[in-house]
Amino acid sequence: MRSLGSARPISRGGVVVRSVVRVSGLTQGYGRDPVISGLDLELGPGITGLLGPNGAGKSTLLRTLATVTPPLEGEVHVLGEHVRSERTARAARREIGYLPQDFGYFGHYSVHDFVRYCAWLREVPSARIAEATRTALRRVGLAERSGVRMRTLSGGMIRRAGIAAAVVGSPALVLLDEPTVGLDPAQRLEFRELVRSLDGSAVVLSTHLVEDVAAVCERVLVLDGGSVRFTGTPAELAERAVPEAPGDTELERGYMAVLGAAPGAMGTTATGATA
Amino acid sequence: MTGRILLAELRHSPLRWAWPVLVAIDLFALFGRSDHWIGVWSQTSAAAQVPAFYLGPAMAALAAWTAARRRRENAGGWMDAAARPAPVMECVHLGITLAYGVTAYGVGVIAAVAVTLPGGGTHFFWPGYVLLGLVVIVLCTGVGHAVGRAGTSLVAAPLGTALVLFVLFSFFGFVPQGAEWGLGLMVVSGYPDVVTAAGPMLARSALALAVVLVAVAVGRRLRSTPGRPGWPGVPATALAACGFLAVSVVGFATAGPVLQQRGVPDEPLCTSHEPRVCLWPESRKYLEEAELMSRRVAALPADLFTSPAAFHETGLRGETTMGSGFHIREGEMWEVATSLAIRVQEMSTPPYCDAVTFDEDEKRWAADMELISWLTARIAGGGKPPTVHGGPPGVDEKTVHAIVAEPEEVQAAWAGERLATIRETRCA
Repeated sequence: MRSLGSARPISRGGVVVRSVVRVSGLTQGYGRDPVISGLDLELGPGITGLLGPNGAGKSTLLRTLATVTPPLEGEVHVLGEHVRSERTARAARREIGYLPQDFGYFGHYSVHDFVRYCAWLREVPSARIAEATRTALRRVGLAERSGVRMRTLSGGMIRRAGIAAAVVGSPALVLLDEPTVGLDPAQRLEFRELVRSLDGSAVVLSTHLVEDVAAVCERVLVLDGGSVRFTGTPAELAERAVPEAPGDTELERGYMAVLGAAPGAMGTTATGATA
Repeated sequence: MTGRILLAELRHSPLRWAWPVLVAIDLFALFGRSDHWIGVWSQTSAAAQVPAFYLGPAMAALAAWTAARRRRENAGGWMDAAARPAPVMECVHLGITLAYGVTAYGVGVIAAVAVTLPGGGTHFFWPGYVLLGLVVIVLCTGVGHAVGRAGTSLVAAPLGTALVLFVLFSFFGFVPQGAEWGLGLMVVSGYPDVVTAAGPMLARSALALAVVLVAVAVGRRLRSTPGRPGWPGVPATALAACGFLAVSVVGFATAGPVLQQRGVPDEPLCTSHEPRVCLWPESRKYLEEAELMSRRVAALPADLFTSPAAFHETGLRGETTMGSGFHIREGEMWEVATSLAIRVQEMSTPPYCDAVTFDEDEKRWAADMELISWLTARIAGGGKPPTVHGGPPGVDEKTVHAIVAEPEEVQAAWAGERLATIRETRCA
């Protein structure tokens, strides 16, 4: 079992939690060929970067962790609860904030109403929804624009609103699927600040961008072909760099080296995961 | 908080732009068809329900469009990952769609009440027909929502759904009359002798509710990738909704006619003169005209015509068919005069029999028809209104009606000739 996350625990309902999500023997896919096969993984508090090329299975993994797609095989545990039915999935979703890669929105909603609606969808307690909505909008810097219609926002603003919808109510697990797509450099810097501020949640950040991982993630997981190629800190990934690997930074070269290496050669990273 | 979410949805829904159109459709269907119902509560209730014939299919189209639009916008992704039970989320969206349809319908109902209130007397609004219209709107909205959830078509599916429902209602939607077959979901007129029956109304309401429950609780797309099963477990809500629908369909099919004979009133509304013309209390609007008709019947040549002591609007004596009574069909008093004329004719001539020769039969038939035509014009107080089409076969109505303007003795001589022809016909 590959365990990811910072050493600091989070508290949910007065209970100290070290393992936010745990998957074992996960096989997942949409056709005959599984996208993910026999994956074992454990995530704790902190920010984990999920790196991998297109088709690596990042979005599939996040959809599975979000309990949107039931696994073909294997188990998913969220906050210690085995998710095995619609009922247990619903219970898990109360603690999961999920930003889909290509998320839609009701264009006619104001930003405030959109985030509040997402809080309602997550069953944030009624008494907390108003404050949770304000807090989420403040965190993403949209408090001043809360009355603006979603359809009038720029791409970056929409991303921010989506992140607010994902973090409203401070869920234990925040899953962000390619959240920086379409953001300009300034917006990406703002986004990094935002992700750093998600203290107290386990955050999984799926991205193509190695520099985002380097900037904000405490842990990194490299997925390719549905298998885990590497788990560790960004510094440990940078140590994998070889001179002949392409890339402008040590981390990029490390990432490319990991992707280029045969699974059998990744002895330290393949443990617990079928590569 | 669900209330606030509902309010936010209500405020932001694109259907708010369709609402004025729905209201316009309703008011046009209400006032554009005719105004005979104004002042008669039973007819007002039926008239207020008639727009549901148009609003129902329109709401089905809008419900299908809004449900599909949500998927098209990919906003369903948030719902896939939601903790909130799917039927609750769908209920909110369907509830908003319904709110727009029901309030548009409600505007028509309020308008109908408002125009009838001053002259409608003390017999306040009949809820039965209005509820029937509401059932149609809820039913159609539920069907549309289910269609919209099943796909992402924004044009073909909504329009197709509306068209299918419109055709279905056109051919089979109305309360059956005689040998016709119908679903009994709508009425054209609200005669005061019949009321909606509680049991069949309950069955129709249950059916509409069941369709709505199925529309929100069953769905292949929500929370599962197409072609992939969702989380294991029994979809209890969906199964319960389907079960309820099955029971509702059986209840609907076996509930019987939606209209039933109304109880005989203790005090029907009758004219002060003999022969008395008695009406349902709801038909107070026509009492003045009935009074005039009563006087005109009394003024017929007594040596030629015999009149019954009273004429009764259908159902006043507990009868289920018009028989010797009269219907006030869509406020048309000419038809009332015709019914009275036929009754006077029957009382004033020997019972019908087959004549010995065909020629005699023809002559008697012509005399019969001319006499009825003349009596109708006399009792109605003049010529036929342009809104009434048709009349006794083979009668030159213009000529016959012109006789009404002749001096009394000329008319009596003319009528006497016809009566003689009828009375002298030899029976086979």
